[in-house]
Amino acid sequence: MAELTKERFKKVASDRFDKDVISRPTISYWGDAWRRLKKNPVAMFSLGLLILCVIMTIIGPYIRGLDFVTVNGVKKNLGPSGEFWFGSDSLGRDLFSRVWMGARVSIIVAVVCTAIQIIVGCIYGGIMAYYGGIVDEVMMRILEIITSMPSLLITLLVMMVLEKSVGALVFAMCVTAWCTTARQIRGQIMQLRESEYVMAAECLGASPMRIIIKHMIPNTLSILILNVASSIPSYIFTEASLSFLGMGLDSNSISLGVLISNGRATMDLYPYQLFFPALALCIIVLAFNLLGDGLRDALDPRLRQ
Amino acid sequence: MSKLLEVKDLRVSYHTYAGEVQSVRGVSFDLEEGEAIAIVGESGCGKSVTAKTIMGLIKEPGKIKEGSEIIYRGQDILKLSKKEMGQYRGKEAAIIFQDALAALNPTMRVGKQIMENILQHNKSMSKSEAFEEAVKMLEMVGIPDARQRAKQYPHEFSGGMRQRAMIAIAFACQPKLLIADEPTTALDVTIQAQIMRLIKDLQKKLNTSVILITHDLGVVANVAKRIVVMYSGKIVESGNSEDIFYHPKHPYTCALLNAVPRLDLENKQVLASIEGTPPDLLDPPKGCPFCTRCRYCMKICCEELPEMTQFGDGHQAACWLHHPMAADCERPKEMEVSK
Amino acid sequence: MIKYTIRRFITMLFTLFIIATATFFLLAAVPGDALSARAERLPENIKENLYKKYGLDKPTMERYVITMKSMLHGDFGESITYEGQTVSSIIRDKGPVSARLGLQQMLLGVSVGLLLGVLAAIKKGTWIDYLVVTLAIVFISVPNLVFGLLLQKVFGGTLSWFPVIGWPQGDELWFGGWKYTVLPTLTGCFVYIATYARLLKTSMLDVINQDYVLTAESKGLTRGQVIRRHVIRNSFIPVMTQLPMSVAMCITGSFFVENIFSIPGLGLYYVNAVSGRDTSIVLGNTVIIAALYIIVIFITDILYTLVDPRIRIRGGKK
Repeated sequence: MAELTKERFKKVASDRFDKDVISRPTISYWGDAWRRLKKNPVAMFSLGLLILCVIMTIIGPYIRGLDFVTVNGVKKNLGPSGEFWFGSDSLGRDLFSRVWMGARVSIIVAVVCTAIQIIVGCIYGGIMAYYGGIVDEVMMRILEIITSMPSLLITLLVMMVLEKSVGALVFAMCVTAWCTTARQIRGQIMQLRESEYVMAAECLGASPMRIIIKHMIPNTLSILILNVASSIPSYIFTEASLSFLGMGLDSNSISLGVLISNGRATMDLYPYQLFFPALALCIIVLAFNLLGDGLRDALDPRLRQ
Repeated sequence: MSKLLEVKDLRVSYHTYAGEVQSVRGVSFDLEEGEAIAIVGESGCGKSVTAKTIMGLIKEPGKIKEGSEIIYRGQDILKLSKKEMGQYRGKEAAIIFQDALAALNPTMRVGKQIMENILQHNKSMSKSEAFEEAVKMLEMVGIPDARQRAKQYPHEFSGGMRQRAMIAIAFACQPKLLIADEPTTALDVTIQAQIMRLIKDLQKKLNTSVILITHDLGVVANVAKRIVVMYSGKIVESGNSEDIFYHPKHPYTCALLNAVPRLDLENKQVLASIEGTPPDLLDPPKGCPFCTRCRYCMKICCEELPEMTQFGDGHQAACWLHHPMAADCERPKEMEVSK
Repeated sequence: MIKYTIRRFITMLFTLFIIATATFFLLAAVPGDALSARAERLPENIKENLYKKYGLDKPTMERYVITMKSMLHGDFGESITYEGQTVSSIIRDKGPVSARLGLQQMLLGVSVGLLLGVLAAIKKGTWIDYLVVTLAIVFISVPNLVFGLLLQKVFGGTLSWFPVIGWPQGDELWFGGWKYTVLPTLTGCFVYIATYARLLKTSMLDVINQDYVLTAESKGLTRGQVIRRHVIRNSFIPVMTQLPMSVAMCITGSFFVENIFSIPGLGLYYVNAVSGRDTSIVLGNTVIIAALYIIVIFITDILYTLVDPRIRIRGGKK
């Protein structure tokens, strides 16, 4: 202990301290979420994997420089080799190129569907929350009726009516999916409008613009991000399942579902024709799911420490 | 009277990503049998953590530091086995939480929640006997139609009744030690007084020792014999309630006392408040934790921790103003040395 | 409570009516139904009779009224592709097959899932927790059709432990013939295991942080007692809300599982009817599946109120 001198017992002017200063730097919600996501090795790994997959879907089909569309009667059903990394299919086409081509179609379909789902859901949910009252009531009943049916049933029925094509598939898969988003958005906006901190912001004279930017968007955005993260894999899934049942894209187009469906036919003799597309599908879906999990943990304000 | 509980140099930290938050930084006090003491302090000063530690309820990421001791009847409860802990909790010590709605299981009938405690510590008792006992407990805490009420769920109770039910659970096995963690904070003022009176009556009747934890000095006055004032994880002053109320020896206590609304003051007088916020416990200040908010802060206060100064009769305070060298420094008028 | 039930019941009927109507008009727009394919090679007069038999000679609106009326009397129509097969007979023949498969999947999947969820929650941070979490995410990410094909290949093909296709019939319809059901049941149950393990774990960790768990601990209950008496029941409540979703999964899941293992159930039949454009069968089955689904949701809602006394008093969700 240093020596006690009279000098040290001098009163200090009390205004020397900024009393209300908050000594810890504040971390913004998004900054914190990103920091936590970065600290999650699984999520970062899956993010890297996804980026790799996306790059492969862009350049993958052309790496081998093989024609993967035209039938080649000579090189049918060849196992994986130096020429055909994943083997060739029953019509002699390079499976490696086809898998990445299929992944491209599957991912594009999933992304388009997700975009439609989010846009329609936001508009519908926003209108419900904005108008409220009888409009809300009627729109809610419509939602309830649509959601009270297994969605795959509706998708199947719609596919039955429409011709098989990518557009029809997108429409059929989106026809019910937006309901969940609409419901979540409505719930979130309603809750926010009632919430005390928005009321407090209003009382402090915050402009509606500020409330929308500072409170509404950040709070709904996290829901939307999670929605995207969980929707994309589920669309990839549904596409594959529908094509498997023969109700998705027709067997001449290339998508992961079609490849799996074709692979099943030759499963007993040439299992690799099923294995590679199925593996690609699983890896892509797994990466999306893992990233989604990481995002959920990162965005959950209750988990902030 | 003999010592029931001795807390020695208790240190509890929470480990978060930002670092170690030192919630409790070396707290020592003791409690005699049948005695009621109060721990007073503002939010975040570590009083609830202290209470939970005494009940052995600290969980990850919280950690009790080496060297801390909580001696209950000669036994360090921090070293109890799981089984011994089970016998200690409920039977020897019980706790009442602030928010009774959150502290009662929403899907279990109130009577059953009381019976649970009774059956746990009286293995030979039958269910129907335990139910009768639970009804008796509810009657004791002043719940009318106790028999019907015992079959209801917590959400069917009013706020005050829920807190009474909590008290019934706590007293079900006649514990020697009751910890009341802000038992009245969530209640209306009128109900607050009833609940405090109930706790006081039961304490007298059953000769229970009580640790009352609160941020409201007004609540403490007629319940606790002794008061411990905590600030940012440390005890800054402790002593008899009379000493604390009439002869405070720490600027923080003075400021707290001035912040209690009083009827005998003139209407025009503005209620005093303490400016500023408590220090960040992630990086506790080197000197006196109160120095940044203290109106009488001296240079040394920011540099070194003050020692406890004894004033007799167990009254002690940690403040540099009591150092002989500070004899002629400005101090709160309550603390003026009367010669 | 009774008022609430009645109101829910009326909403249910209305929803069904809307679904039937929507399905009817959707199917009326299907290009080239099964009948025209069948009638193509037939002489003109027989063709006419055939159309008359299915009422397809009448305008759409009139057919709609007729269909709705007969549905009210419990007649859901007759197959166009296979004469003599009515929706009712199909349900009677194939319903039990799908029901057994679905029940087995759900019972096994949900119970194993819940068990794993409890384990993961109480052993949080240990290898058990990580194992369960990893398994769950893998089970969710691998489509059941891939699982099915894999199981079929390994246990049916390579190892030959179980038959690859087929289903117990006759006396063994409900019990017995287990070896046929093992692979399909496993295939279908993975998704439940994953969903319920994850759900229950999150929910339990939520409950464990509640104040009333501290109260229970402060009574001196052991950890096991606290978990059994206080944590489990309260953490089951949010899990219950997932049950209707699972029934939907079960119905749509049967489309794939029955397809992979060629199980003569409703799912396979329905998919075949859809791809064969057998409109009358699709209409009838859709309405019945939807009705089943809605009824299950209704029952779950009632169950939900029984578990959570807070809802029981208020009479209905919010």
